Amino acid sequence: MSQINESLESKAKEKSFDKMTKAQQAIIWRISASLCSLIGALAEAQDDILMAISQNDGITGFLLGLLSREFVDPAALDELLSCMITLTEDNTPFCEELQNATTALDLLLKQKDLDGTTSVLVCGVLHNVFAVLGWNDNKPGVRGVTDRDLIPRLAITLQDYKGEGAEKKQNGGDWIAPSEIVTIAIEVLAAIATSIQDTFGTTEEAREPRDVDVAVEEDEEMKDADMEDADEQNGSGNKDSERGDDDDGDKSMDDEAIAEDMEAVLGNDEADARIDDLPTLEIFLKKALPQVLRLAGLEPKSEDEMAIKIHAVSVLNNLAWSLSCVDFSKGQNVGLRNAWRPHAGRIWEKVVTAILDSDTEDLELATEITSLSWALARALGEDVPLKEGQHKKFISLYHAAKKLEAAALNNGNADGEEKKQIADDDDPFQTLGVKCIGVLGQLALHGTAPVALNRDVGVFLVAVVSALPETRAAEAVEALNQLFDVYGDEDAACDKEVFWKDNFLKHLEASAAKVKVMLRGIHKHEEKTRELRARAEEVVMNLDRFIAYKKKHRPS
Amino acid sequence: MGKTKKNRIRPGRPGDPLARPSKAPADPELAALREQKILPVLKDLQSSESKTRSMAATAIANMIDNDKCRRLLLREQLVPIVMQNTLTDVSLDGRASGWEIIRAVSELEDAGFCVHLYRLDVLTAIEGACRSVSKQLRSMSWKVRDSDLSLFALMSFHIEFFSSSTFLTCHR
Repeated sequence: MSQINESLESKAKEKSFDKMTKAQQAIIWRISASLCSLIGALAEAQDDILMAISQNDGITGFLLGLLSREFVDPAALDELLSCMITLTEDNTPFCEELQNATTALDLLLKQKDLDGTTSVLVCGVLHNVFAVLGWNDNKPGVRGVTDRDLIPRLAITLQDYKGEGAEKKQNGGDWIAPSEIVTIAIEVLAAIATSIQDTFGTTEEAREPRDVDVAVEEDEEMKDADMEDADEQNGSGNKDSERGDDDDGDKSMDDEAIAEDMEAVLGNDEADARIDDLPTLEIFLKKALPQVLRLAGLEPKSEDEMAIKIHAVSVLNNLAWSLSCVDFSKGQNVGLRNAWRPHAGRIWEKVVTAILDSDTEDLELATEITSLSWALARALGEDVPLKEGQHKKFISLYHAAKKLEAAALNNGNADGEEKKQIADDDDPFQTLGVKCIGVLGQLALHGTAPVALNRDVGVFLVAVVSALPETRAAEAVEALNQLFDVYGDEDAACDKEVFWKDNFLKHLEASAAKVKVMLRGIHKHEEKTRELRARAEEVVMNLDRFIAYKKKHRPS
Repeated sequence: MGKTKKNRIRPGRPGDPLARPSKAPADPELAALREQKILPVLKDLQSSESKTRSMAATAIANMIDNDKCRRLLLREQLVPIVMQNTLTDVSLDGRASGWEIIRAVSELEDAGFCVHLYRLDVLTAIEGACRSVSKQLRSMSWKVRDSDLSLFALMSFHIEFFSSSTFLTCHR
């Protein structure tokens, strides 16, 4: 291999770049483009290779050197930037190196506002750098830059997308963004929507904090069951159980706090919607959201358009989950909640309802939309603009999920993307089934939810558990957790009207043994099943306590 | 990390199982393709004539999109041949073609191909090429415009800096 070096270096000494002919310069750009593309592909293939590349001075020096040049051949520049997107993702040492290469960083900041493809790629690189270095509203980077500075450019790219037909008809008119570039722009927005939660200050660490919160709440409730008489002393636990789970009328949230919240919500809706101290969110809602909504509402006429639609929904999903991580029970977040809720309602009406009505058979789209619904329902509480009978769509979707998943697995052999999606779903809690259960539980949780809706959901959840061992473990775990949440309060109307009238206790008692068998079937020490095992253990323990508690609180 | 990296690198060597002479495929169509196109073009790629090598590289670049041709080329040791010969070609154009061939294959094959390349120590070759290109680009001094950059910085971001520079200019 040293041969190569020697030969290349001796060649390099022959002429300086200036003195080369145009043809020779073009060859250097060809080599640069190939190298960048290859480095990107290698880095993407394996984490070890990514590390080896970021630690190789010759390679990083070449990349940063190219980035520091005012002029780079356009084809090479796009390869360079794509490669940089791969290398900067979650890569602290490399991002720090880039941070120190001030000329390169300055140029990137300048290029982000140009027109066309390059600027979108630049935004991708910059977002990765901001995310790794923690540059956000709370701690802006050099020259005060944050994601806020990228959003307008990305939004314009989305605006420039006119769909398949327009792309082909393009003849010297306005620039029309091709779907690959729109896809990158949406992906960057999706990443921004996730990291936006770092700007809120009082956020939960978990991506979907439900996992944590449910556990805490259950513990509080079950403690009640164990030591009924010590109820008053439980005040100290309130703080925990309120955390994260917004306004779901949790019984441990004291009335005063609810009244305070309600006043804040109802009192002065728009005027209180103060988010000036969150410029990134503000500009996201103002500039990007309308465009994302437009793309999420596409009626796809091709695979490309479908992919773009799914990506757009996943931006909304990330944003909704980021906002549902906020502790809205804290006074200072009331403005944030008021700013978000009108948008959340509109997203439900425009996107969720439209996609549910379309009875999509696309597993990926169905999964994204259900996840989005869950997050929106958490933020909206009883104000979800639920259409008559809409909850039944999620029940049908749960049953359809089995068929869709089987179909996707079969297609997987022919279609690499689809296969990858299934592989990504290694987390058993990220399946469409679990998400359906989550959103349904959330919809039934509210005191104001009609008894008929509550019954549909309750019967569904009990049936999911009873269907063990057919039901997947993660689904049974989520269904039980939702049942504990929905029927944990013996003062709620649905307790008497549904839980007791429909004999849920008997069904749950009958399922208890099956739940224990399910637990025994989950590997204890395997990395992949560790979380599932932990949550299943918890659910088994809580089921016993829940049954004991309910027996003691049987209505007279 | 350094240690892990060293252990993982397995330089391509003559005894490499990948370098074993391959058998002709059983399928007559593929066998014919191998005889008539693949083997000759690979032979040309290693020719002593610069022009022949260059034409072979172009021909390979053109047939790489075709799945059958690419599979056969890979089976007949395209990658080791390119890494040992084309990437060290005396002509700059030849080396560029070599990189383009490897890049094209990496775009068409799955991630496994890149892992394979990595095990063949492609990073050392890439590093060499990167250093060489960097050197050539650095000689293009007039294109790296530090002055422009600071001007840009002045105008777009640093008003304070701007005023102090103006101040300096006035004094000059």
